[in-house]
Amino acid sequence: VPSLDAGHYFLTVLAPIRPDTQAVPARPARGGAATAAPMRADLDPNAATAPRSHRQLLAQDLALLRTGYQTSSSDPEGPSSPFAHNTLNHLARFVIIDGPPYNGRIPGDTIVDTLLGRDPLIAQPVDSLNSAYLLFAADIDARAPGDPVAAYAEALWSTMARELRVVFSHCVDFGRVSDGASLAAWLRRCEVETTMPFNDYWPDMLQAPPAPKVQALALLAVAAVGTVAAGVMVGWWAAALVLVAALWVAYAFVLNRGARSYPTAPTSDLPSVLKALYIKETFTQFAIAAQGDDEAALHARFGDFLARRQPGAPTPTQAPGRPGVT
Amino acid sequence: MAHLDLADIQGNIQRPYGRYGFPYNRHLFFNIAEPETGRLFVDAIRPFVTTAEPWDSAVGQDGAVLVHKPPIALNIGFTWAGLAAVGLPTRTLRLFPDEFIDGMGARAEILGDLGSSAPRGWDPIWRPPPPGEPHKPVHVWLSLNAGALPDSSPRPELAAMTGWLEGLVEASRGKVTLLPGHGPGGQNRWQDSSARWEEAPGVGYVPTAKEHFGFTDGISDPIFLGQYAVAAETVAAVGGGKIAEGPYDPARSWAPLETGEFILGLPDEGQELPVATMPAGFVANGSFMVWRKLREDVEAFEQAMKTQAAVYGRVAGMADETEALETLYAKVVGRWRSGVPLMAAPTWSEQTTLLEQWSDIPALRLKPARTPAENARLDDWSRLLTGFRYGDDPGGARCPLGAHIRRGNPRDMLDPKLSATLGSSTLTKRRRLIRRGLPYETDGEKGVIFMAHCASLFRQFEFIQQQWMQYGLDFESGNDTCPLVGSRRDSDKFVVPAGAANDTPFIASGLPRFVDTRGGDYFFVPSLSALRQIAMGTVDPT
Repeated sequence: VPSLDAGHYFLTVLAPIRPDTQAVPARPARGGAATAAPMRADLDPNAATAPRSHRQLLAQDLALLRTGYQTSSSDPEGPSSPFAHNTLNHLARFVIIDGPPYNGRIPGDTIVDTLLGRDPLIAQPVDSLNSAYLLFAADIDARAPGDPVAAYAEALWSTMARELRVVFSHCVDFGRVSDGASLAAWLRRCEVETTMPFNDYWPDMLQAPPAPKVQALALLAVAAVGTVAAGVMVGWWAAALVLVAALWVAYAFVLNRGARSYPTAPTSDLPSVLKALYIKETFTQFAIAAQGDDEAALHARFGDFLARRQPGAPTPTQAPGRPGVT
Repeated sequence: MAHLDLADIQGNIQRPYGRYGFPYNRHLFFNIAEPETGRLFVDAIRPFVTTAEPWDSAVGQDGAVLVHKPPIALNIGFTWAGLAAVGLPTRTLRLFPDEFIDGMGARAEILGDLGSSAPRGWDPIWRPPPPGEPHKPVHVWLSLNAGALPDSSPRPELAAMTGWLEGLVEASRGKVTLLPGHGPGGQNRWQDSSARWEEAPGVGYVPTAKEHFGFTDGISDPIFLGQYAVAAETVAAVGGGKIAEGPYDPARSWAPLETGEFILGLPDEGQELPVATMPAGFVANGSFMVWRKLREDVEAFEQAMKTQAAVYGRVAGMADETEALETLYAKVVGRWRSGVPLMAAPTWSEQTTLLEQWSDIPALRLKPARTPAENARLDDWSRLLTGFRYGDDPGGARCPLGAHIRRGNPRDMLDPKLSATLGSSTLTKRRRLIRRGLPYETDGEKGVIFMAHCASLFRQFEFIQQQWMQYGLDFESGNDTCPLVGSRRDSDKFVVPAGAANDTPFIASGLPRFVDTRGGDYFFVPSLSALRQIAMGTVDPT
């Protein structure tokens, strides 16, 4: 399963955005002058409620969704992303996809087109999607037994059901989602396979086991001997048949190996990563403070560091979505 | 060798005037209220603009010297608003790069001009006036570089030329304003800067290349094709040019940078013409310039270095207080305060020995006529100061990865193939700056007037400032900023890697900000031809 790789599940959801419009109260978001002098219904028949497309409303709701503490211009005191309320997702992102990018006409060769009688004045088709889609992509831990998407859906529903409703209610068929299980079913319906996940928790690479190399060599030898034997004993067409069959087996073998997921990298789940960041930062503080200590003082200070920071224990640790030790 | 029309290029791009006998630099800024008067103002100044032509060497057909060294070197530049004020066409104005149109103040977040460096605290000339007063932004920068009398005071021509400029302003009947507002209270009508002086026995006062923290400044500047004559170019390219791919050979790997990295209208290191605006004839032989007034908090710097050196001495095993302090100074910058790079002398005692071996250099520099052997010795000294690379020091044991000069000019250190034998500047050669400028000391405030020339403010100046001075990822330093000029909002530490394996590194922490921005802007420094077009009102963008 390409979506599952090295102990992480790479969830890619493409949810069609509802094509209908929604009547929203025509009330300015931030009050001000418009509240003091409301629009008269005889001047605008939509004065009470304005029709808006779900795509428009979704874009507005996403713009208002809180993000993590991602850049130095984020407010360190402000509330964090709702995705920081669980310890399963490493990254989560929403993107509205209106359609495929248009790259213009497919270029041709003037001489070839002339010879084939192609008329450059005839318009080429332009691709489009049947609706706008909301992309929801999340990298999540998948170490616990069972369906990782189901576990994630439960975690999301119990921590940010309100935000999920705000966002996903602009998508087709979300109305029936009422708990973690129905959310998981809905996500699965909209899921597409992640064919190129990016996982960098094996910094030094995994040593490939030697077995496949031996198997491949043996396979190659069998194919070569088989081809020659078939050619000598039966005829050239049999040799060709055996060669094609051998090539197909080799191809299937490679695909089969490629489809297996990479083994789980040690300590690559979110709580471990957060703990590692916590230790990195507190150890730097320790190293700065310990400069110039004599041996006894250094020993005492390191003992204090171990006792306070507990490198082997899950806590204390850094909060998700918010760098820095508090 | 590239042939440049040196008579069309402004002289401040080509020469550091401070080293050519002009230790004084006065900066005047003007506002233009009406295009016609502005063009007349430019036209009046145009004949006196100093070009890049060599002085006292070019000889005409009649044998007379064509270009004499002037008593005052005068140069001029325009902000984007200034080019709009003299009436450039919309197409020329809108095609300028975004950052030039924005101006320096609007780029504060990118440049790290935050907190005590934020534009709201800049000198009044760079800020909008209090409500109700007319806003007169900076349009024109005019620089007067002057020589000194034997007692180290500026030559009288400086005051005379300033008076002449005031006369031009008066004649404009209020359409051209000499903008006051320099200094903390905005009391000064212009910004003066000058070299710091030193009394040399038997010679009198001599200008030094020291800035206020005590470091020798302006040592390693990039050199471009056509900047110097062939012989001088070969010497200056070592350390000042680019490093070729392939095995490193100090004698053969260095070559001058393409002219288009600094002067517009000529091919650059990307084998393209730099993008500036239209028409090409207006852009050619011009350059962009950064002007920044940087306050140096000398007291805070010295105090912090003293505090840190006490711990550093213990960690690094240096019993001598002076050695610990001077070594820490050197680690922060990458050069000893004498200017000798850590890459040439990694320890205090090696630096002392080296300075003894080269003790004849200061006297040689002052000598008016030198023998070829003496010139060769000066060239060797110059190679020692600038002709190094970082392939010999990948871990920063000699020169810390986050040191000021390694950030400003990483040379070959970002080459993925970097080793003891390999290393090129392919990834860094498009991010060089020609630095100009002198220290200032006015109203009890010390600092430097920093000027830098480049073809792209965005690719060169802003990148160096944002990614290399105010961030540390390229130097394996995380969020750490430059220990000398960096902001401390996201990190206040600086790592000095240990010399030998298993030695203890030193981490300076709790560093305050030492250098604050007091104002500045981005300027276009036009060619003499472009100045003529501005004056005539004939910039045709088609």
